[in-house]
Parts: sequence; C-alpha cells; structure tokens
Amino acid sequence: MPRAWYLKDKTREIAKWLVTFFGLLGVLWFLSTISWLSPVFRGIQSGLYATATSIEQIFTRIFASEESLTRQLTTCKDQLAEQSTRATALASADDEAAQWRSLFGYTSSGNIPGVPSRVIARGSFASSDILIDKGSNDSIAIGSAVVIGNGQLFGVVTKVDATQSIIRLIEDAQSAIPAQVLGQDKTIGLVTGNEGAALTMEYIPQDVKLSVGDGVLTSGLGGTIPAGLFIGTVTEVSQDLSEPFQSATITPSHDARAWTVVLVLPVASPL
Amino acid sequence: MTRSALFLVPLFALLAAVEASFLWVFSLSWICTFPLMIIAGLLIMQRVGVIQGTAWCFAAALFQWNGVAFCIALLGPLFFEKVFSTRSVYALLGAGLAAYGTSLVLITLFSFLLPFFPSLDISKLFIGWILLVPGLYCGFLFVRWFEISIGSRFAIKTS
Repeated sequence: MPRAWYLKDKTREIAKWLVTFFGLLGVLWFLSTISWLSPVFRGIQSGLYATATSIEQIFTRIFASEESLTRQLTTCKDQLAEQSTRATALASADDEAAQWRSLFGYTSSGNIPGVPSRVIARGSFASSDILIDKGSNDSIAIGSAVVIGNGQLFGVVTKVDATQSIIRLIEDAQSAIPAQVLGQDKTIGLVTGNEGAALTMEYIPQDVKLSVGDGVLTSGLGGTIPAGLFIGTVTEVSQDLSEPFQSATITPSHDARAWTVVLVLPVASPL
Repeated sequence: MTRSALFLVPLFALLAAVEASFLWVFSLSWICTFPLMIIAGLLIMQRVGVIQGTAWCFAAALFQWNGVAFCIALLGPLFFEKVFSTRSVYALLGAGLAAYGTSLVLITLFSFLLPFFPSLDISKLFIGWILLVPGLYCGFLFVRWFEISIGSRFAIKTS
C-alpha cells in the first residue's frame, strides 16, 4: 500500500536521524573526556567563564548598593590594618635578620668567640642600660665587652644573673672606656658618655695632632675590654693650650636604639 | 535529513557550553535564567523540524537535567503542529510561550503533589518565561538572516 509504504519510509528516516543525532552527541561527549581533546573543551569553557566573570564584576561595581560598598570598604580597611601590622612585623624581622648576619660575619671572619644575645628590655629615660637574655649560665661575666654589627663596641656588662644581664651603653654618663686613636698607638685617652648621641674622649696629650674623621678604638688597657673594638669617629677637637690635655668629641657609628641583637665577648678575649 | 544532525550536534555542544560557562556565572538572576537551550530548541522545532527540535529539547533535558526542557519536548510538537502551525514570528512566540507556560504549571503542580519531585526555584523559571520573548524574537531574526545568507551552503533543510 503506498500510504503504508510512505509511513514506513518516513519512520525509518526519522529513526535514522535520531540515531545520528544522539550518536554524534554521545561521540562528542566521549571525545570531551579523552585527555588529549579535553583541554580544547576546557579551554573554551574557561575562556567563556573568565569573560563572564569579568563582565559580572563590572556590573557588580556599577550597580552595587551603598550598603554593599560600605561593607566592602570596611573589609578593605580591616585587611589594610592587618597587612600593615604584618608588614611592620616583617620589617622588624628583616632588621633582626640583618643584625644576625652582621654578627655572624664578624664572628666567622676572625673566629671570634662570643655569646649572641637578644635585647629584651631597655632602661628608662634616665638610664642607658639595656637587658639581654643571656647570663651566667651562658658564661657571661661582669666587665665583658658587648659588640654589634662588625665589631663596634656597644656597651659593657655591669650585672649578671643566671639567665639575663644588664649592659651599660657607652653613651651612659658612668661609662668610661680606655681608648686609642686609630693609627697612633701611643695616643690613649678615656672615652666617656654624655647621655646623648656623642661621646667625649679626654686626657689626650696636647702634642697629639687629632683630625676630624680619625677613628677611635678600644686600647685594651684595663684588662676586661679587648683592644681594637671600634668606638666611633672624631667629629670635633677641643684644644685649650692652657690645659694639660685636649679633648675630642666622638660620634659613635651606630644608633643604640636600633639594635636588638648583640654579641657578648669573653672578658679580655685576644683579637 | 541526517546531514542536519552534523550541524546541530556541534551547535548543541557550543550553546550548552555558553549557557553553563557564561550565562550561569552571572549572579544577577535575570541573566542566569535566560533559557538559551530552550530557545534554540523552539527555533529548531519551527524552522528545521519538529522531530529535530524535540530531539534537541530531550538532549538538553538529559544533559542539563532540565525539567522544563523535558516538558517542552513533549508539548512543543503539539503546539507547533496543531495550534501555531505557521512559520511566522508570532507563531513562534505563541507556541514558545504556551509550551513554556504549560511546562511551568506542570512543574509547579508536580513539585506540590509529588514529594520526591526535586524542588525548583519557580521565580527564576518565571523570569525565564519572560526572557523567552526577547530571546525568541532575536533568535527568529538571526535564523532568518542565517537562512537567507548562509543556510544554502550548509546541510540545513527547513521542513
């Protein structure tokens, strides 16, 4: 019958189309799971996703409510405060690491023995003393020289407990360090503190020619502080011919407030 | 007739990727509810063939687990062949809105009556129903342009 024959043919054609369509879909789905073809599909999807995300962020910024913006601003401020705190802590850690590296370079260059210590407290305004975290348990003794960086004299140990010690800085008014001018072995004097940034070197013979910029080192006299530790440089010379001695203003090469790591040398350690 | 499947299968994959990776990313509800695959299925149902459009909607329902697409696959042929049988944009809009609206009513009824039926956001589906109008209209214009300028070079036969 022509009608039945036509219907049968039409049905066959529809069936063929459906099989082709779903078969190709299945093949495409299978291909998308194959490792060497899936990057292509994933690449297309990730590109679309990135584009949509960018557009969404633009829309969000344009149509964000005031309350939403205020919330975002508060969140950003909190994060900024937190990051600032972290940055400060990191900067402090960087400084300390630099100090440790400097001390390590100093001790390893000349095989210099010493006890590295950390400053844990500073004295009041009227006192230049500092407290470190090492004591007699670590072989620290009264009179030991304390240095920083590349062997610059920082202070002297004045009191020792089992686990901590007190250091008198060279800027302290009670500090008196036997010193010599660099290059002039016989020119000795006494460097005293003035509770300020500058030191005073006294009892310098009048016949000694001092110049601004001359380096001043420890002389080793007295027995507890080794010789050769750098103290500072001459910044001013006070010469009164009517006096038996001249004096000089010495500026230390360091800022005592900036150092948190120090090295305590053994008493009268030979250099 | 089978040659049209060679064109429709890559188009299906592309539109599915666009819908999933582009439209659904938007948190603004009126964009992510745009029924791209359903619009394409309705257009194919009118312009290419009812069988092809029905297969498209079934495939969309299967791959995206879309209940609306499944209902349209069942109801679409009825509206396109018996009610809105012309090839005008008004017939397309009428059949599309009727099929989608009926699907929406059925899904709402099923979600209330059948406890195991997965819950759907009816408000988003309703917004999708409204977005069907501009989507079908723009799609109709695009398909007309495609048929006139490029369609003769590809294996697309209109029924």
